[in-house]
Amino acid sequence: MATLITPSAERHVELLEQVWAERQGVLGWLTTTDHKRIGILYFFTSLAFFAAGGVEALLIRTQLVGPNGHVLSPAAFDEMFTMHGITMIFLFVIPMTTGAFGNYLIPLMIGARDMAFPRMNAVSYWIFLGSGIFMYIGLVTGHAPNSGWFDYVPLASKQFDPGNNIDFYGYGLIFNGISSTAAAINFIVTIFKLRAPGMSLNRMPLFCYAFLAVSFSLVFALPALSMACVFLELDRQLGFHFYDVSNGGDPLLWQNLFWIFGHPEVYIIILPAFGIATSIIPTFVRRKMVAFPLVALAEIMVAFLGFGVWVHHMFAVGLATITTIYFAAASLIIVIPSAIQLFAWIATILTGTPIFKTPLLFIIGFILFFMIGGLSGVTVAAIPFDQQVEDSYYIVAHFHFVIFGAAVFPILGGMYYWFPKVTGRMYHEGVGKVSFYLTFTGTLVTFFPMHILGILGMPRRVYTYPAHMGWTFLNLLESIGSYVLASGLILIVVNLAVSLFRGPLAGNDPFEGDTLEWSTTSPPPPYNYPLIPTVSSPYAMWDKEDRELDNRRLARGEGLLARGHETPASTVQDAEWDEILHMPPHSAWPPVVGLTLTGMFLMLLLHHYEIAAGFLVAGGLALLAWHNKEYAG
Amino acid sequence: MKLDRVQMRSTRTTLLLWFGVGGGPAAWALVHVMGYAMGIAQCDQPAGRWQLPVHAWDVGVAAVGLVIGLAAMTVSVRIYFATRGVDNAPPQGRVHFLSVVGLVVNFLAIMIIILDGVGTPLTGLCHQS
Amino acid sequence: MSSSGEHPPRPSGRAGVIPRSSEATTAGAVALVARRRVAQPNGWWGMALFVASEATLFGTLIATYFYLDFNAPRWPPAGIKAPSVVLPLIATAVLVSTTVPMFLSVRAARAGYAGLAARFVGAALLVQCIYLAGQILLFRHDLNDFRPDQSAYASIYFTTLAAHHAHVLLGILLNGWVAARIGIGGLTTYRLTAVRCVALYWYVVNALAVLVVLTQLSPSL
Repeated sequence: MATLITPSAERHVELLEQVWAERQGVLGWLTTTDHKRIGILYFFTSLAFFAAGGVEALLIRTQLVGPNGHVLSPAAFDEMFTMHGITMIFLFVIPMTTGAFGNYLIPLMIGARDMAFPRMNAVSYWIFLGSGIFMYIGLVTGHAPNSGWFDYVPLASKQFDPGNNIDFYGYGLIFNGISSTAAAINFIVTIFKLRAPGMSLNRMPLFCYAFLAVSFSLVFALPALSMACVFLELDRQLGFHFYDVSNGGDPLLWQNLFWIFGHPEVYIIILPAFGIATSIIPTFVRRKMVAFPLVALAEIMVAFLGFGVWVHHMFAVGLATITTIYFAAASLIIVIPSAIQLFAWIATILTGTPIFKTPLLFIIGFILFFMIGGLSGVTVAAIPFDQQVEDSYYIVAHFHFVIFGAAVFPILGGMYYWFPKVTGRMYHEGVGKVSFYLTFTGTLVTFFPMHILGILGMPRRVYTYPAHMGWTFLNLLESIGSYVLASGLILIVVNLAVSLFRGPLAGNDPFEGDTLEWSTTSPPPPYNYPLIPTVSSPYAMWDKEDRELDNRRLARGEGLLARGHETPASTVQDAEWDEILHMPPHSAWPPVVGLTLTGMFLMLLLHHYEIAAGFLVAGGLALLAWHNKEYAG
Repeated sequence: MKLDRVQMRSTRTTLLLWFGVGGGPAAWALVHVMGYAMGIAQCDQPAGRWQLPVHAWDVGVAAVGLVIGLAAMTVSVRIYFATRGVDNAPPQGRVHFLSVVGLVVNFLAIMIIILDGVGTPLTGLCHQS
Repeated sequence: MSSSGEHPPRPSGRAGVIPRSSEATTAGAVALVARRRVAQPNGWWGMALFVASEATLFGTLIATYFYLDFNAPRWPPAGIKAPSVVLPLIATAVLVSTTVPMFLSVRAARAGYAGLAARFVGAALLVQCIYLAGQILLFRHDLNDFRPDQSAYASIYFTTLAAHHAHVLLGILLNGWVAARIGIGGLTTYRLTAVRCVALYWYVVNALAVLVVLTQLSPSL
């Protein structure tokens, strides 16, 4: 049940409303440190990049609709598939799941009033925006990155790619990585320290476990990518020799470093989706998740084991079996924790009372696609089979099922599920279901035939193909599927956009959800909760006694923490209340730091190193000013 | 053995509990890194800079990893049985939850270590896949 | 003025008042908050994760060094002499010794002695500046012998050292800021956390310095 604002509670709530009143207008949004506003900024920015990546995909599919296509030149095609991969991975899926969903929901789910470092949260967004614009300047000026999203040397070296196309990517990834690292640190400290008193580790929602796993993965994986890009740029700009064989370097060094990041990256992509699925399922089947501890550990274990499988992206490179065998073993066993989650979701649905509303439909679609993508993944964990299908459309099929089918479907379901909470209005259920069927069909028709095409020998990244290969019909089918998919996605956006203005009011808890965010108003007030909630289980909303206790406490004015922007901090394991923290109301320094970093990377790209150093110094001074205002310890 | 609330908060229990959770995965990480590194050291080097006992090393490291993994599993099993039937309030609920986590993650880690330890001696030295 | 606080809402393992940390602006209040707090402060966790990320960065650099080493027929390549051992080891020992004043500065700050803490940080800062100046001289001396655009060995050698020196420089800037803040402005809970964070940063950078120097000197050891 949602928190009741009775007459005796009203005056306490009014005090909080005054203390937490937010700046309005553009300046308010520019200087915000409120996790909800930052989440919304991330949402619309990553949605815009999703549209850009989608257009790139449609251009690719249009070029491949028939043999000997002339829609795109070979060089333009190279830029399209590269930008499609970069955009979808770095500028859509990760910012959408971590930046939008994570930022908005984590503090709400743990009963906190903001993230642990609100100003750093804001700067993560501004750096993400800067890095996205930075990389797209390359596309707009005709110098988009063009050697694939994994950017292998020697193709990406100065000798074979002399323009600054690759530099937009190399610098851009280092730039983007700063945003993600900061965000990951923020999530870990928030989940560790800001949980409502009583929310010990065994009482934490599974969504939080997914985000802990994602965040630790980001912290430990991004340095490998950053160093790989630093080495690449040193080779390209200053003539170093990390990757060139003739002077003692090794192109495989790039591959190792890239995939040490790249494999955890794909788990970073999918784990938040698992978290979204484990939030939606209990609500719509009216049942707690089967085997809660197993699902929690499976999420963490997948992320951990994910650091030990990277060479399976290099099985066809010619490495000695005595080294690759370690990775084949880990790649096979990593299936087990994924399967634990899959069986838990299915068991929960089968033993619950499913209510087939749009969010649950997307999760069922996700489960099916994850099974297909996961099974094709198991096949390529076997070295001999992988060597047959490496760099063919079979691999394209595999990763689109797991990335699109299994990561994006929960995002779409989550958009429907939390739309009422964020906006206060209900989406149109009938249109929602149609959008699901269109998207589901489109995904299946676009990506399933790719398995067959791959086994028939079609290589990936080819800009066209001859008519006699026998690939024509399946390519046509896939391109038609991609238009169906695009129409489904557009319908989702239209449904939500129209409902934003014309949807019926949703109330606090339209779906009788299980986690704390459903106890507060829709949309939540700036202070999230009028009082710090009482927690006894991971399904706080279904613990009626606790919610009634909170109503009585609110009427008495207990637990308000209204002397400024206050939130409790607790111990890591058992969430015992440890101190009261004071949070910043807003700050201008995060966008300033974002601007200085953007300037620095642009100057590095243009080889104006002294000016770049100047921007770095300016950023440092902005940080000094930032820390001049002291908030939580 | 039963743990009371005071014992559950003690440093010894906390260290043991987290060894029970992380010992197996840490052992796997050790086996993995040391095995891969030894393989690269022997197989990447041009023209015989050294001859390393790769197979013996791989089996030895796997054996050490197995011992650590089994020790961590044993700790988790003992804590599991010592906290059976507790309610979910901290610290006992949290301790029991983490013992369940330890049981499963150690099992997985031990499985990979066994695959590694059995597979590597059966593989020729420095033959390409 | 001691900080105000709240009582825990229902029976918990915790006795006494929960402090409002940011209201502690006198030395005594800060020391009281530090004693009452059970968990590490948020800022400490943030720094711990940041240095974990930086340690991973150095792990990548060190792994790259040995990866390229194992690939090479000769390491260092012909024409480059193996690094000398004595000076780098002495320099590293000097840097590692600054762990002591940093540790003492944290103890002083926790007990509420702002001036003493600032002086310990200042002492560490002085030694670290001397260290960095010496290392820059050694770096330039090496550049006269061989250049990073000549071989993979030189590329990884200079990149690893430059990364380490950049981290030392950042640490020096952090030390300067912390010493000024608490020396001039006095202690608050925020600044106590800052001292603890910067000390943690230095413990890790100093440990990494040992690993970097051992890597750098590995052909000679």
